[in-house]
Amino acid sequence: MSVEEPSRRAWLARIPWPSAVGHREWYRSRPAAGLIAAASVAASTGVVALLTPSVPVQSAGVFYLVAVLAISSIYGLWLGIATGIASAVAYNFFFLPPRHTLTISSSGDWLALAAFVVTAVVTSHLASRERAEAEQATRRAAEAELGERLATLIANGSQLHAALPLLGRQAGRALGARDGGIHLGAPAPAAKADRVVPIELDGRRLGELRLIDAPEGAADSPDAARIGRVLAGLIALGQEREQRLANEVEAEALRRSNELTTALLRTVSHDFRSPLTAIATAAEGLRFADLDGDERELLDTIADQSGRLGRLVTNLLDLSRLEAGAATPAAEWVDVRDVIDAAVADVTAAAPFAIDVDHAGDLPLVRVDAAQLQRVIVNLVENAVKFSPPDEHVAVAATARGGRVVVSVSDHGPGVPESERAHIFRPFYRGRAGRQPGSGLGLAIAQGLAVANGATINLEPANGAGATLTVSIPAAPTPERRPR
Amino acid sequence: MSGDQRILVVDDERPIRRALEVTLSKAGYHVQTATTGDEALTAAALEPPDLVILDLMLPDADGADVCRQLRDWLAAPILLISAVGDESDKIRALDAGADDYVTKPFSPGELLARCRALLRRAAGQRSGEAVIEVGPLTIDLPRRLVSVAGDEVRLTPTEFDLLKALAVAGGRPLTHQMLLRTVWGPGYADEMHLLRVNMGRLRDKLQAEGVERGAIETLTGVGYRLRTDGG
Repeated sequence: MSVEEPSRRAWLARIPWPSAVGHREWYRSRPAAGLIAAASVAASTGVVALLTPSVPVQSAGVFYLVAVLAISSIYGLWLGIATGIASAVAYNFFFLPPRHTLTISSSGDWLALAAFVVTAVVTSHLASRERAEAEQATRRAAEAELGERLATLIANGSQLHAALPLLGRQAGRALGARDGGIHLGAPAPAAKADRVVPIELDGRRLGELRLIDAPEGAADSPDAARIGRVLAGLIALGQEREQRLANEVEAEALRRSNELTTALLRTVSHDFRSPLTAIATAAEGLRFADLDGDERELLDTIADQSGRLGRLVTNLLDLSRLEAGAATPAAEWVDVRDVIDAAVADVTAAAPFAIDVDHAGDLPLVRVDAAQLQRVIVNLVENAVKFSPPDEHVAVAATARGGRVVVSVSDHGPGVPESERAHIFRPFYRGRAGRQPGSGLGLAIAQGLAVANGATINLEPANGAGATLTVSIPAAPTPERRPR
Repeated sequence: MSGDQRILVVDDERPIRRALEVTLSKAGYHVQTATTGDEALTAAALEPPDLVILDLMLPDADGADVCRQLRDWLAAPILLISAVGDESDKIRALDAGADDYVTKPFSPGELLARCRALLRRAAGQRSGEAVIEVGPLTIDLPRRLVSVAGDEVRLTPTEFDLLKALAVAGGRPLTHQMLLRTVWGPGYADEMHLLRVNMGRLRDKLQAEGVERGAIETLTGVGYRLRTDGG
């Protein structure tokens, strides 16, 4: 389909759309037609009366045929016949002897009457056929024009909803209505005067075309059905195109935002860690200086706090990766005990704490991203340590349970109040009990990473003092061991 | 003690380079610095160092390539500095001949401990030893016997080979693929579950004799390392 240049489209919009089936002008109304027929008979009578002194009355009577011809060709058969009969009656009454009576005395007069009626029938038949053909041609032209116009509008990328009012009007006029409107979606209660053409594609209702001041039967005609189908096809096409366009726009936005996020993560990862490493290393360099107790304490503060900042940066990065969907797990065979040991070593390296580990017995392997599972367990253990009294132990245990490996992390802290149980996995949520320092990110990240790896995290029902969080990981069937 | 030991620090970021330079100097090492891969190769060629500390992220070169080029002719140990999440880079650099790595942000104490361990290991090469002693473990290679404080630990042939590979590496990290190739053979590089299962059993058996599981350190996403000292 070629794309119309704007000037042609403007020109198209200006052409008057033809009224095909009888968008009725004033002279077509029934009373007006009757009056006009009567007037034409009266006028013919007047003309004949003027001519009779000089012309033989039989010849002058031909003038009645003009009225019959005109009325039959404009108004069709019935009014034509009526005009013919009226002409015959008037001619007989006013001009044929005996005058001013309706008596017919000669066979020649019968002939004249018959001629009027036959003329009326033949003329009106010819005229109405001609008219029907002309109307059909106009309608087809209008439909073709309508189709072209619809297609043009849609192909040109006009938005469907912006094009609909014009399309509705033109489709309505093509069906002979004064106006029309397209309404998409479910049928709404229409005004009484409206006639409705459904717009359906393969039995699926897309909407309807409402005709305003439409002639009888216009909404049920084959033309209406055809226009309905054309509209349905084009509207479906337009909708599909808009949907595709919207999807593309969304995908593009997502891709850009992902690129941005990735670039940001890379930058932050590198640009935050390097200064932190420099600070920590520089502080360590001072340890060789001859420092007194206070100065050494300040040095410890620098070291501790840069370590804390480092962990916070790691948490924020993890959270952004999760929210950007960039934390794609690289699944491999993992022994959960390895991960627990590494996680506990991580936590105690940062701050020594008594952590009891119990993962005796054979545990099935799991298929997860080892580094991510380690982050999950590190975060749970750090959380437990944070809420534990300093002289209490944190317990980490792993067991096989119903096709899953369940890791539990328990502390002897204040536990989680009933009112907070639903919130502890929310980012930036910090429990009220104890007012512990922290970002409120640890558990949110743990849950995000766990879910990404097909595992779940649960807060166990309160059971005495403290809180127990569990990570439940589906066990993976170990492949057949190949001979060594 | 270490005044004559030379360390080459390769890092493009001045604050870290300076901090390392000062810290290592204070600890008694003689420190040279380089900011790019090219500079590092030149400096190492002019005055061969006893240890190279190499940042994996250099502006002009891939850290693993620099490693390989150094390793071609330099016997000195190479310690990598890498960022979190660079597991695949670490593995490539270890494959290219690096000896160990620390992850940013690292504690300088940790770095010094790694340096000491690497230099000590380089000084007393274990190659050719028939009996290796690591902490409480004694590994008799020709007789294929492992004992903890005199008590024999009964290992399967696979478990023994695994422990042997780690012990012969002398505290160097071994990647999963290295271990699978060494113990099972070249065709087994992707059979990770074999490594996980056997490593679990090996640790169980050593643990039963009082050797903590952490004696074989898990390097998540990278591999394993047999700890030879407290660091």
